[in-house]
Amino acid sequence: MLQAINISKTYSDNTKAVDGISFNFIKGNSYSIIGPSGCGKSTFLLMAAGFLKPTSGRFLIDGNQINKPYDKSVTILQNFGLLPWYTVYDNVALGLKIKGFKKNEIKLKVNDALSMMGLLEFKDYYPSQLSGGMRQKVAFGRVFALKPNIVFLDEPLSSLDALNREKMQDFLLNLWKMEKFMMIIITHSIEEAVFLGKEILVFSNRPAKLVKVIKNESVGDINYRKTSEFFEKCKSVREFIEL
Amino acid sequence: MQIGARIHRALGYVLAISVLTVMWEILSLVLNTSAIPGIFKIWSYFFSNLPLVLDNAKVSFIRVICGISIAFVSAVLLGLASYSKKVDAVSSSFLYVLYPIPHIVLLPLFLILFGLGETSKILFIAFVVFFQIWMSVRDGAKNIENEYTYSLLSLGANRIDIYRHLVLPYVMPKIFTGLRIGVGSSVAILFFVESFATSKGLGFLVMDAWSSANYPALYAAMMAFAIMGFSMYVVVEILERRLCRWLYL
Repeated sequence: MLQAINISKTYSDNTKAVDGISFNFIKGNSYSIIGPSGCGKSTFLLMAAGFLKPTSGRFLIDGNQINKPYDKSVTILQNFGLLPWYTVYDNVALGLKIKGFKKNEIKLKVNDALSMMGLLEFKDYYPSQLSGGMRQKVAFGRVFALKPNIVFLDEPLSSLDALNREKMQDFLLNLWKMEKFMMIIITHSIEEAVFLGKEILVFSNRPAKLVKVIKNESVGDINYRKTSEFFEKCKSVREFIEL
Repeated sequence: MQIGARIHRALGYVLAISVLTVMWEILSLVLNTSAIPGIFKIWSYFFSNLPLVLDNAKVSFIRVICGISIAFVSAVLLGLASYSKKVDAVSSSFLYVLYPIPHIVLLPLFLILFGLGETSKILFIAFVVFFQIWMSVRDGAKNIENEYTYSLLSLGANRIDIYRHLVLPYVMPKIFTGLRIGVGSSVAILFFVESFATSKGLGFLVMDAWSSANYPALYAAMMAFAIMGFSMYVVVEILERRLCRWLYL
């Protein structure tokens, strides 16, 4: 369990980004965080992932305070997950290499991840040779290879066009169902939030406060998007977002 | 396709050299003076005195390579350290004070400190090239986006991992930019330091031939300079294509 206890963040130039957020994230569940752009949701995620320190309050994982990135977590940021100088294979292998796995073990896990992502034939490509969607898959491949307990995602799909975006949402949903990690995803798309988050956290304008938590139990069904329940849910999320 | 591109480039070089040769030949014919001999006179001097030229080229080459190596290692290490904002705050103030000085005027200081022998020559070349590589590497290392660092940290990277997987490859193209500029100026500095207080080296050959009005020898020595500079440039280029493969896809 990941607990956020009364988290606030004020930057050194005195802008307050996050204001007193408390919430318990349960193991294996999926959470969407949505709010106006620039509201402080990325700051919140970077703190939860252990990259930034809160000005006050604390994050606990299974009761232990986080001071650095938790070693059973992976963070995927908007555009920068992949290193341009490494091939697809080396990018997926990087986490395993850093964690000190043996060479043949790495090979096994990476090839496994790549074939699962449908990327095996692209393993010697560099990121710049891939489309946006494929690059995103490589970043997810890294998650798959590392088998983390928590995955933090900061608008991972925002650079994709609408159709590819839905495809990757399906892909991510399947990955989550299969791997059973806790997923916390930041998005500014209401549909994406509703499609991926079992619970949807709505943040206010800056400084971010937790305005509303919306339960969304039907998440997990690939056809959820086509149901009237989905539209109703989107409508109710929209009501809570200040534009 | 890659081989095709290579042949293309090689042909480009050959064309450029041919055009320059023809222009020289025209200049020589038009001016009609012994001070601008025809290209074949220069070549025949160059090849019939090849042992002498090579002997001096070797001395020059060792000086320049030692100088570049010293500059390279120290400048790259110092530049990489600028990834840390704290280190950069200190080192960049030195860079800003020292970079705009015309380094070449400090030659007498080097002669005073290190004497007239090889040490002062090599260190002076190193000194001038050092700033060019340092500036380039430092600019790269200090501009690395936080997001890259975050994604590596999220994979469990420590400081050494970050330097190895992020900082070094990130600045690699910058290292080569610095090196390419450095190679060019090192050959120029070489001529400067070899133009006095030595009896070996291509710079000496140039000065010696010039003062005795031996023009074919003068241009043959210049040609040796050009060949040395060009070959070093080509080696840097090949290394860059090897080590920065992702930029040449």
